[in-house]
Formats: sequence, C-alpha cells, structure tokens
Amino acid sequence: MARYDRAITVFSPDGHLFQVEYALEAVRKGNAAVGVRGTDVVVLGVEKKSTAKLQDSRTVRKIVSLDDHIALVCAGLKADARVLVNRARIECQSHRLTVEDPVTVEYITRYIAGLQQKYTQSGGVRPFGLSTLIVGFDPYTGIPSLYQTDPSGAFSAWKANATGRNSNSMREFLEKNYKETSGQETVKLAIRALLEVVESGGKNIEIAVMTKEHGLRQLEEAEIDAIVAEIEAEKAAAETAKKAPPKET
Amino acid sequence: MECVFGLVGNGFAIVAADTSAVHSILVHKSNEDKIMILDSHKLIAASGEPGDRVQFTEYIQKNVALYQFRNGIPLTAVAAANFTRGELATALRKNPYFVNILLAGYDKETGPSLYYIDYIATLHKVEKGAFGYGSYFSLSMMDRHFHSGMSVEEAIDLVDKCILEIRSRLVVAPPNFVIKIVDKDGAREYAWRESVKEAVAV
Repeated sequence: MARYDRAITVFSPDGHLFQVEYALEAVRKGNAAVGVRGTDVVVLGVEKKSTAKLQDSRTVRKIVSLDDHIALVCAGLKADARVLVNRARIECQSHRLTVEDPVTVEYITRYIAGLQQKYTQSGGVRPFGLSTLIVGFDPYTGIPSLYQTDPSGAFSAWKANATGRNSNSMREFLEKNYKETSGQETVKLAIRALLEVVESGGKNIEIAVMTKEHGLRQLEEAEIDAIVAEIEAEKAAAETAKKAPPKET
Repeated sequence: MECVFGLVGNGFAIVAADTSAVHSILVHKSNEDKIMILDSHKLIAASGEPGDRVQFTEYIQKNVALYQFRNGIPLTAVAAANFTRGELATALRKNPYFVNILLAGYDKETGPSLYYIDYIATLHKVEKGAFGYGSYFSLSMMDRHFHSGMSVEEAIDLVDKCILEIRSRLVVAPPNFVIKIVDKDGAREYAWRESVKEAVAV
C-alpha cells in the first residue's frame, strides 16, 4: 500500500487513488457544514470553531457568495477553498459575459467539480482537500437547488446533506427528520442538524439563508440564539410529553 | 454622429446619450441604449465603434462585479474610472478600443462624480463633459448655464437646452436621447427625449 499512495496519478492494484482518499480524510477533519433545500429557501450552516480572542472574526467568512444567486460552504482545507472560490467567481462573471445569462447552480457545480477532477489526473499536483455544498436558485425557473462536490470531482444534487466533521451523524439525523419545508422551518432543520454535532449557541454556528428575492443573508448571532432557544424549548416539551404517559398508567 | 454629455449636480450626476445606431447612411435603430448601469451606483455612457462599445463596457461591468464578490464591497467611482482607463491604456498600443466614456458615479463618502475617459486613455475628473460633434454645442451651452450644485430640475433643464441645441444646429442630429441619473438612491433611467418613435410591431 505504501507504494501506491505517493503520486496522484498512480492507481493501486485494487483500484484506489489513495491521494484522493486521503483528501477525503482531510475533509472529514474539517468543520461540520450542512445544507438544506426548502421549497422557497436554501439554508447553509457551518460550525464556527471558537475564535481566538485577538482574531477579527469578520475576516473569517465561511459561507461565501459566488454570484447574486449562488452561495457555497466548504469543509476541509480553507486555503484550497480560497483558490476554488476565486476560480468559481471568475467563471460566474465570464459566463455572464459570454452568454449574457447567469449560471445555473448545476453549471457552476459541474465547473467546480471539473476543476477538482482535473487535479486528480495531473502530474505534480495534489487534489483539493475540500468538499463543497453549493446552493442557489435557477435564474429563470426560480427552483432552489443544493449540490455537493468532493475531492474526487464527483457531484450530485441533494435535498439535504452534510459534510466535514461528524457528517455521518448529521446525515443520519437529516434522513430521519427531513421533510419538505419552507422559510423558517428549513432554517430550524439546518440548525437542528448542526446542533447534533456542534456545541449549542449562536457564536458556534454560522447560518446563511438564500431566497430568490433577497439573495444571501447571513443570520445575526442574536437571531441564531433565538432559534436555538426555540429548538431547545421544543426539545424540552417533547421530553416532558414522553415522560408524562407512563405516570398515568 | 454620436452625442454623449453629462454633468454633476447637488448630490447627483446626470448623463445623456443619443440613441441612434448608425451604419454609414442607414439608421439601424433609434432606441439603442448607450448608457450602461455598471453597478448599483455607477453609470457608463459610451460612444464610439459599436462593437467595441458593447464589448468593452460589458467587460468592465463584469470585472467590477467580480471585484465586489471577491472583496465584499463595491469599487469606488474613482477606482472604477482608473481601472477602465488602465484597460484602455493596456490595449492602446496593441489592439485599441475606439470607445469614449463618461463614467458617472455616486459614493457615500465623497458624493457624486463624473469622469471623462477618451479612447486613448485620457482620464479627467470633471464637473461637465461631452463627446462627439454634439460636444461643440453641449459644452458651449453648459459653459453658459452650468453652476456648481444645480438641482435636478435645473440640471434637466440644462440637458434639454443642450439637446435642443444639438437638434437644431447639428446637420446629422440624432432624433432621440436617453437621460440617466445616479444619486444616493442608485443609478437609474431618468427619461427619454424622443422626436421620432421607433416603429414597433403591433
């Protein structure tokens, strides 16, 4: 095995590209990120590791917009993310310039995934160590979408997905609790999924909501705290409801 | 010949451009909008070679948008003007663009501004400016009637005076003009001045 994991361009005998798999490991170490698609909104959430006291937290934006109607969050190597996001932003404008149309979510996802794939098939380079969750609205039909890409360059559309640290637990939670929601309910679902793996509180979570009319809006810490409080109250109410019946019998 | 002119007033900048698309002796259309909304608070009024005009202004517009996505804040008017001039200058000695530009912008900190950028990459910050044969008439009218800090009504009155002068004194005067304004509330179309209606299929 040690002989097949050095160069990216070498397959192992059992068909693995070890560098790509190691890149996926890097993603698994990155911060937890979640995306949920509603009927009229798409919500992105990401875990915010406690900021150092002397750090200016405004310069650490994890949810970025690629265009007026597309946003992205990633898990993994943040420096690699900067490069990918920059190329994607240029492509969004370039597309507008050449065909006078904004990109569709699928187009820009395909572009980013294509870039990630290119770096799994070249000499002397390593794959990008990040997976992305890309959300947006189709510029003409107004239909919301959520896509995911990974270091291998594969991509697919999702109703809800998670990536990064503990993504399996979040995905399990989403699979159990997903239903078609809209507006605030979608935001709550995303936060509930994140709270499964992240310490509760507004300063540990970053949430952004995208709507067709207003584009991307980052939620304030106070807003997140309020929703978290609502969720905790609902949880507590469900707990007491569960405990009550046994007492009656 | 293409007429573009503009001026700065009290808290706003206004630009006017003719709307004829001409090829030799044929007028293709008389409702061609030559004033592009660059971003929320900037206008580019451009005149010159039609292909270059569209190509160049769209290129500038997309690069200004890219800057905003990369940096989270929009370019200032002076920065956009210098960027535009830089692109013209770089292309000048290889593959020049034949486009003359009046860039009107509004910044929260510095207020309204107007920049004169000609096709050989001259850049001047001005209170009033004009391009084309029409400039002989509109600059003279503005020299006579312009004063600093005009109100929107006074400025529109002056623009109308310029248009009247161009219509009556220029041999191939364009029939229609579009006027756009930029102020603290953003860049938007203000009015059209039409003396020949473009025929529209019923």
